[in-house]
Amino acid sequence: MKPAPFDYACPSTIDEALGLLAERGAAARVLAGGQSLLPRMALRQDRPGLLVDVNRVAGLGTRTTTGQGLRLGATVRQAAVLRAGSGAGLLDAALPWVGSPGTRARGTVVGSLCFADPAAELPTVLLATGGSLEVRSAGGNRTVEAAELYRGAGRTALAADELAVAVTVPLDTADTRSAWLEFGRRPGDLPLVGVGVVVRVHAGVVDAVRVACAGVHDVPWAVPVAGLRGAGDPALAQEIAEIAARECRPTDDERTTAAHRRVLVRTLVRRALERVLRPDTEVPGAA
Amino acid sequence: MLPDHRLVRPAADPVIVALTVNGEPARMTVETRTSLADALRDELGLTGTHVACEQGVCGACTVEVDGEAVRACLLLAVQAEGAEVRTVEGLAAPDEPLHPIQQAFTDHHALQCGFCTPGLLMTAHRLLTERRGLDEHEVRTVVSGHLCRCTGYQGIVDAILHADRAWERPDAPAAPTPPEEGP
Amino acid sequence: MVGVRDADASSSLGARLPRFEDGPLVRGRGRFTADVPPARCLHAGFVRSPHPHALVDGVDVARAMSAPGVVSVLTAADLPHIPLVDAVAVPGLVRTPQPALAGERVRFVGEAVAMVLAGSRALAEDAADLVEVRYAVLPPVVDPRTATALPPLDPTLSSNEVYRGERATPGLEAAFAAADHVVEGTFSTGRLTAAPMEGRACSATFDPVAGALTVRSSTQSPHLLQRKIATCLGMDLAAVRVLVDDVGGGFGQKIPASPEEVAVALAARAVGRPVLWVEDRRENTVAGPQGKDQRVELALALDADGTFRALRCDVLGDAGAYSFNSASALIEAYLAAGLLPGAYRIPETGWRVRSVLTTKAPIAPYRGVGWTGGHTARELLIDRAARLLGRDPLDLRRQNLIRPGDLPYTTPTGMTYDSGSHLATIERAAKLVDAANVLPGPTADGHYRGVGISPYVEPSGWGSAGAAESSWSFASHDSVRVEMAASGAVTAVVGTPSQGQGHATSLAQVVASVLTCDPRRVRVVTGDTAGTPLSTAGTRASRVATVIGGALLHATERLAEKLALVAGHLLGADPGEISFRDGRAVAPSGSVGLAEIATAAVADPAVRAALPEPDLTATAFYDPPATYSNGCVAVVVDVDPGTGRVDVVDAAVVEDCGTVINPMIVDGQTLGAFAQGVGAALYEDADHAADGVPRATSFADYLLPTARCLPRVALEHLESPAPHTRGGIKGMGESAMIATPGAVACAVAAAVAPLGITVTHTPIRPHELVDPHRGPAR
Repeated sequence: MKPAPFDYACPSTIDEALGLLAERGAAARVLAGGQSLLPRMALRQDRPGLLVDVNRVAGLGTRTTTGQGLRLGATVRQAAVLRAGSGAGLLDAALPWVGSPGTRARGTVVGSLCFADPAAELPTVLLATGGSLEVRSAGGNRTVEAAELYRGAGRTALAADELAVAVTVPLDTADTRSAWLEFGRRPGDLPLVGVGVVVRVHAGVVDAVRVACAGVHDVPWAVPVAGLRGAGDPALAQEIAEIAARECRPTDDERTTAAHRRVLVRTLVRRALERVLRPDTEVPGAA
Repeated sequence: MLPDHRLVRPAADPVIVALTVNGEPARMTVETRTSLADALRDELGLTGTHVACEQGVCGACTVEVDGEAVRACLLLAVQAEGAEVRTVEGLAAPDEPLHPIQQAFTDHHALQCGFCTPGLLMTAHRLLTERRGLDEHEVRTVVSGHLCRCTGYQGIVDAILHADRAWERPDAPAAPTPPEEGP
Repeated sequence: MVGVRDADASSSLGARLPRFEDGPLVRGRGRFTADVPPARCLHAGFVRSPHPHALVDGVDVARAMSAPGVVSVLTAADLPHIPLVDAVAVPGLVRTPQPALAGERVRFVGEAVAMVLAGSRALAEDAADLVEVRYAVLPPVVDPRTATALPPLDPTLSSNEVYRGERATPGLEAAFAAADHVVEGTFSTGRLTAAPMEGRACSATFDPVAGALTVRSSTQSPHLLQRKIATCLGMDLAAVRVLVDDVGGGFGQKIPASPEEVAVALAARAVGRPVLWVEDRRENTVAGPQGKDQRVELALALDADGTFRALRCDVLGDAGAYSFNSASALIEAYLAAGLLPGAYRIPETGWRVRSVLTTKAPIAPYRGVGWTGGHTARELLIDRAARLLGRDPLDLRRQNLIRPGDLPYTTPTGMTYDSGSHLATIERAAKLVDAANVLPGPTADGHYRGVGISPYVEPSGWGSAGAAESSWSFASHDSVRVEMAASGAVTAVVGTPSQGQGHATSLAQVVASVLTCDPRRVRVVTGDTAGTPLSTAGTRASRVATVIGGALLHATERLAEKLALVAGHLLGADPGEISFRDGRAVAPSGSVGLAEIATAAVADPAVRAALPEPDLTATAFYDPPATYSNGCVAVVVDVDPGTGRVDVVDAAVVEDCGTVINPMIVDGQTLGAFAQGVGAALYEDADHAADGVPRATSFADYLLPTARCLPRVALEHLESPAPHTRGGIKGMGESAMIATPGAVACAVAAAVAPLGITVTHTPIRPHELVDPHRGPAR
């Protein structure tokens, strides 16, 4: 289980990295934390001709707060975010589920987003929070919204010459509530289904709900609940769980059955929403 | 823009990596694809770092790199240029008494075949360097990032809980409440 | 009979002694096979079949030969055709030959077709990618139930069924005819892999001048490997030396000589350079020997009051592609049938056993060999019977368990349980998990709880007699040597390497118990066929404590007699008056320390003049009578019907392995086996898809239990010393792996019974515990 041979570059500037990506195209892969890429390379499931190691690129390791939210550079480790807290409740809730302490010490948030495993936590967190990826190439910068990022298992909207330099996740406001729940065979495993919910509550009324699921489709899946609002009582959780279970289109795979995934969607969506729709969000006197 | 080809280390060329291992300067000659785990074993003879899954799952190869406990199978040796690495051999010199964590492992029968043990010791060392006052749930959560086929983990958990109390270390802050997990 | 014995201060037996082997291991200074590569060694990488079944039309190694760093690429055509053949000779068993490298046909995914020798493992893998094998794909044989309908995997066989046997007690049919109730069920135990943390590994160095081969291997059975390699290479036994230092777990997988080990030995001789093979996790998971995998049909006849009258089984074992050498296609189904009655009084039994070949990795021993599958099926059936009869499962078991007055008890399958504490252990285990207060039905959070009680018997300490009671042919030949140096330090030399069981400590305690010395004065040496006495079987079958421990008692007593001669001379006493206390030889006239005795034996001319042969070496041979350990595993599980999640929330193991040498080590063996049992019940799965391709290929998808999958386990020891073995020692180590899967399966079955879900298979998968058609669970 040794990787096939590859060229290796460790640029110190973004421009150097972009130049290498532009020249080598699809044969090049970006190496950040490497906690998902290197296992695949050890199995020779991936055989990049060049690894562009961005860990020493200046400026990619920073964490800042912008008008849009928390901005994490491409080499910010999952462990660092977990240790300090992010201000985005869903990200904080999901991070302990990502891998193990040993992989989180190296694994990056942006790297996990770009790896685009449809069962992984962070892509679904990005979708549920409405975050975005900041992408750069020799041609310039662009922002890719979470909903536009994923094209299939392991595939993103990024071109081969593009480098994801940062992610921005909206920070919670006083009325934000969120929860992450997942079910995997063992704690710490990639989930069979993961669910992230972000809810905003004004004056006891839920006025925005986002629910996203990992492990259900080949990309993170947003449960179609746009426009749904109402009293924050268990009935709403039940209603959304039923919508999710009805609308999802999971498939059988070697890890479990489609029917099991549908049950997990229903259970986890309802339980996640019940966690955030606490009694104080209920409208007094509502039926 | 044109790439700077001097940046690229061709696959076929050996690379010399200079780093610090267990407090001593070291040099390793590796391929670009060589993992840090293999380099420590083959180049430096530090065979206490064990390779068991090469997928980052089992944790047997865990070492400390710049103060973090990481999977040495998922770090390329070339990436360790300039790094401070500590391996299990660095916990106590051969002529020194066992480190309190090592002592706790033997006192609590936390190992049988001993193959997973070095990785667990390094994770425990990092955990206890950073924290004190751990509870069993948190220790189990951290230990669950490692696989042991022999012990059923009970001795390992007990050893780490005991070492948390026995290891005199002034700097480790008390553990905050661990994050809630699990449906 | 029974009781928890305090360690006698004057005896090293029973002391909870930290292990002597731990120091190097916790310092990272162990010596595993990969840690000591021979100088100038080549690294082996295997080209392995991606197909479960295919004819090999041709192998083109030209591109691989010219790849960087490659010294040689070997195929079956380059090696002498010397198949490995099952050493077991049970009447009726068809033994299949297994090649070191597949020639005309591949029979499982992962079977080695070619071997690349290169300057590094990475270079060997690069070249292995370049070997072009042309396969003509054949249909796989996946389902053992239909294996006999498909053409035989080996043209020399008449069928894929390699064994069929039937046996019954004379009163079986009458007992079923007279029964008030007959409860039936079919249960299956999935395919597993032992998954030692260190995979298989070996190196071989051939000295053409001396005509000698030195092999270093991660093996449980060095003498067996020595014999297999000598046979395959046509060498004299004495010209093959096998070395073993630290081994990173075995659990049975490392008992057989692997085809890869034979290929490495052949290659080292062929190319004239040392060869090292370090198996990686994918190889170990896919191509390494696997375990378990049997289907058991059972019928239990009961009286109206619940008394067991008869038990009948039909066991079908999936042997994989070959009747594996030294392990045999029979190890699962046949051994399961032999232990059919378990810890219960069942007067009549009958069995039919079949073993078939399929296109999967061969089955080899894995902890609790055979017994796990039969035990799990029996316990699930007893729980089913209890539910049908409206009886409490614990009470039904209690009613039918072997009682103290029944002992010694001979089962209708021919095993004589020499002693035990069958009722006492079940009562204690049930109490430790508070079984009486685990209530069925949903808890406040909508989960379901269930308790599983799994009393076991472990046939242990296998020598010839123990094996014979399982109708098994078994080469049991074990000798040991004990020596005292002039310093008084003792060396115990044995042929059974440790894979983590702590032999360096527990065997030292055995020796020290005779000499009454500090066990730290005893060094246990093993792992070199050139220097250690013979152990044909090696470390397996929970036999080392009983067989080697017993032999060491015997040898050390002989050494003590020699010491008494010297001491008698020094003290002016009759040797018959000498006894040993606190590491000193004591006579009425005074006492003398072991070091003084040893020094005198070596250097004192007066001693030399008085005693013709003051040699402080003693050897002994031991082939013990059969003995049986027993105990009980009890667990409580919590099932979340909204996800199918199963949590083992409470567990207890009460075990009785006779005289306990080191309770800490017994605890460790028990906890480790318990964890493996939970893995077998809930997580681990080496099953193959319908196309014959294994689903699990790494530790990412072969799910070993982690620390969060397991509860804190309460452990207790009872001691019923074996009446017939030396020291009363019984074997242990497999027992919790025999009984835990059944305990967990019974607990889950009890938990989900109110939901209308039945459990008939391990591992139990979460999707089997949720009902998509039910309303939303909480």
